[in-house]
Amino acid sequence: MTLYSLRINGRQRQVEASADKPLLWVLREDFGLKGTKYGCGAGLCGACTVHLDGEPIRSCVTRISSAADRSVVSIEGLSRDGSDPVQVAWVERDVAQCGYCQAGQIMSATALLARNPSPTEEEVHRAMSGNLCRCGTYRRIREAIQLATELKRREQ
Amino acid sequence: MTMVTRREFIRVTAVAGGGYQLAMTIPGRLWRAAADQSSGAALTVFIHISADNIVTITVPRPDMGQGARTSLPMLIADELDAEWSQVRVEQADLDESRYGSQYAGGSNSVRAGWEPLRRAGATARWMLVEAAARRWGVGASQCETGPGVVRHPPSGRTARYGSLASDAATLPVPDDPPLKDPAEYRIIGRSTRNVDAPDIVVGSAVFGLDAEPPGMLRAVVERSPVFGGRLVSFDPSAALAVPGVRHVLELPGSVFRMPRNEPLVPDGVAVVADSVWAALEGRKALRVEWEAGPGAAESTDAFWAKCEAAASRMNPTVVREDGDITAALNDAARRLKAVYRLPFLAHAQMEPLNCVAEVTRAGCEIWAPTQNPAGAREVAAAVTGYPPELIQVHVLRSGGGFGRRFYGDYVAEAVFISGAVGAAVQVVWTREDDMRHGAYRPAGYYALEGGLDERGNIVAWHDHLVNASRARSLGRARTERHAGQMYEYAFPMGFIPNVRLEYTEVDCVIPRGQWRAIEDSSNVFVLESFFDELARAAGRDPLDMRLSMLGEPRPMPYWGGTYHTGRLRGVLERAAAAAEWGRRTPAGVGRGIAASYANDAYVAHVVDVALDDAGTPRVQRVVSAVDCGRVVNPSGAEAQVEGSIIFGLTAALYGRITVNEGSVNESNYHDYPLMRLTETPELDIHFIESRVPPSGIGEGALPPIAPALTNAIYDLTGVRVRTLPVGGQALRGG
Repeated sequence: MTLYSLRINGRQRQVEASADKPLLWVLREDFGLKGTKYGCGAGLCGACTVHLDGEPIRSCVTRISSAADRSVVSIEGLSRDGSDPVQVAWVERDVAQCGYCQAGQIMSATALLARNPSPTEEEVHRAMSGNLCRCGTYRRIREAIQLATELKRREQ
Repeated sequence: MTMVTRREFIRVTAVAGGGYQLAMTIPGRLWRAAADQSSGAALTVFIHISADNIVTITVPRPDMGQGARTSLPMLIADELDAEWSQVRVEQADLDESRYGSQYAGGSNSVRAGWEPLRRAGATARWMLVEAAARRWGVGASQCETGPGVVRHPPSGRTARYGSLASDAATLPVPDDPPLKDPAEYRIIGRSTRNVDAPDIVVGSAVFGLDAEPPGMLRAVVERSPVFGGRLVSFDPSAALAVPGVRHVLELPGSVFRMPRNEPLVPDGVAVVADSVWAALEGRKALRVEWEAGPGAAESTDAFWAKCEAAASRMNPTVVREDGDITAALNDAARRLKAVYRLPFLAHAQMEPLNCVAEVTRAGCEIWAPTQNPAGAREVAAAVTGYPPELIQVHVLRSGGGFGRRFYGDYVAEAVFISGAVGAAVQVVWTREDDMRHGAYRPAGYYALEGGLDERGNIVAWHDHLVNASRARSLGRARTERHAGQMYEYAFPMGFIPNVRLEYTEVDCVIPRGQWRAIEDSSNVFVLESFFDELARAAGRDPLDMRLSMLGEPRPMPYWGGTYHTGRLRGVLERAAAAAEWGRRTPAGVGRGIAASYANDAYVAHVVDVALDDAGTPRVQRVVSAVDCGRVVNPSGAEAQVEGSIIFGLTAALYGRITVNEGSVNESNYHDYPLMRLTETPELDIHFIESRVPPSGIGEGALPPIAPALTNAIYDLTGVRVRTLPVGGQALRGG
């Protein structure tokens, strides 16, 4: 067990854990941040997506040792009140059915738009193809990303 | 000093914390804050109106994404004549004597709630009007409601519901309050966003896996890898040495006396720890010895061989017989034989199974993402021996259900382990556990033969279904044939003069259960595909042939009720028109059509498909027409259709569970793939305007999508897909 220090949603935090403990379980159980979900434990579904130094990663296959001294943003840290354009667009387009995959979807989408404010359809597909949705909300996810792009453009 | 009991603690946090009664550190958004229910009053069991005019509606049925927490409150709120923005939603605990039936399944929530929930809203509205009338000394008939207020136009007086609720609650409950004329609906029929959307997008919506009553431990279970295998011995020492692991114990699932209609619980070894990760690490360190037993002889290959052998045996059960099938086939101008094979399918809902239970000497408390809270109580009663009154079930949001969460096997595990270790325990299934210990959609072997006359009419239809049924898996002792296994009443049955439908059950240890659309998920594939085969063999347009056979609009018998041919015609015509059926498709695009009355809804799909360079089918577009009666929430209903299409296409393209030596081969999303965003076709969905009461749309759009796809593939390639999934089959050059 080692003491790890990392920044989570803007706050410096510490956790004692074994090096190979996945960031997913550190977030959920050591820090009580349950918005990040467990779907497959193998990096296959994207439900556990968070940002590590701004990059979207699958926290279920990311060891806490890899996140040491770095900055993590989870769904809870995207905005103080759901006001991120992606979150607004997601509500506007009524995307979620069960909602379980949606934190991961939103984290992938926000990472995409942060680095590429005007993605092509191809670029959206590539960025989002690792996020599975069993309820089949994909059409609305596409529309919400388009809307979020527009909202961000208007913010400028 | 008074001891705060567990229940009091949880109730207190329910009022103060907003949203669910669990220790969430994320504050709810302002408009989602739970009403202060210390003021105001309850009017009916579903409605509470606080002094500051917040209307809290208690939802009786679970939400697994099908939208019950939005659509059911809409029914109440409209008849109550509340402003939707005043509404907050709370989930009911299990209490069927109070709320009526509380399961979510069978596309039933809106259909079953349509009358009673509107009545509840109207009852409360009537009492509020009465209270205002008495307060003002005027006749109730002179009063009217505007959203959230009662008005007396002659004097101009108004009062908000919040100021009337306490008085209203003292009045007698009216027997038969008037319901709105549908023309007056302000909420019903208007697209309404998922009430939990704001929580979902900030990560504060609480799913089963997020439940955490104080003192909760976590458990994962190493289960028998072979169906029906027995635990022989295990060495817990290495597991117990893992930091955080508290207990390692036997889970004697095979001795649980599960109620009828519940899957068997496998034998297992449970690792109980203070965190999921520690439990998982502990499980890795377990040493377990199993006795595989006779289940080890089971495989999907063996199952198909059993089916083939049974198909040629001469003693099936006859399910339906019209005319003289033998003579009709002999006299037919053209005969067509086909064997269809539909695979076992997993639910693969995004949130793996889990449940929290706390068993004490005083009783049992359960927090479950379940579709069937009453079933959860029955299971808990069976495992604990406690009477139902001592078992409390809190219903949590499910990350998808699709039928899997109708069962209580995971509830049984949580209850048992909690009782054994003396603490609240959350059992967490890994994705691998979930994939391998399913209640799979039954596989089916359909041996068909059809006959056409010289004019291209279908004069004979013979089908012998061989499978291992869902009922036999869950009922275990049952040997009698059960209704609904075959398609006795589905089109084109009743429209063909000579029919024989036969059924043979084979033994199989692979556990079976309800999957979305249940038997229609496989039966409609066969019906709509073989119909297409016959139409093509007759040189006739598959749409025209359906329409001419449907004939005059009239009711047809359907399992104790009827369906209407006019409505089936209606969705076929609408989808076909919107898709421009009959018009030449672009080069490289095939087009197929299929429709069904299933799960209480009439749905038709027209699918356009192309092949990519690798010969893989890519669905370009789906045009759909849906008749599910009056649509309560257009956005929600359309979401169910979108979702059913994706769910059904996923199954058609990729879905397959295989078994070898009594174990499921598939384990995660790499070998049980789901359709992705990049594969999502253009969706063009039309709802037929209807005044008929809502009939439900959670499942009905699923059955016809797979045959529409394979009919389109035939149109494009000349290759007839009779075995699913499509994926991996050579489709070029047919």
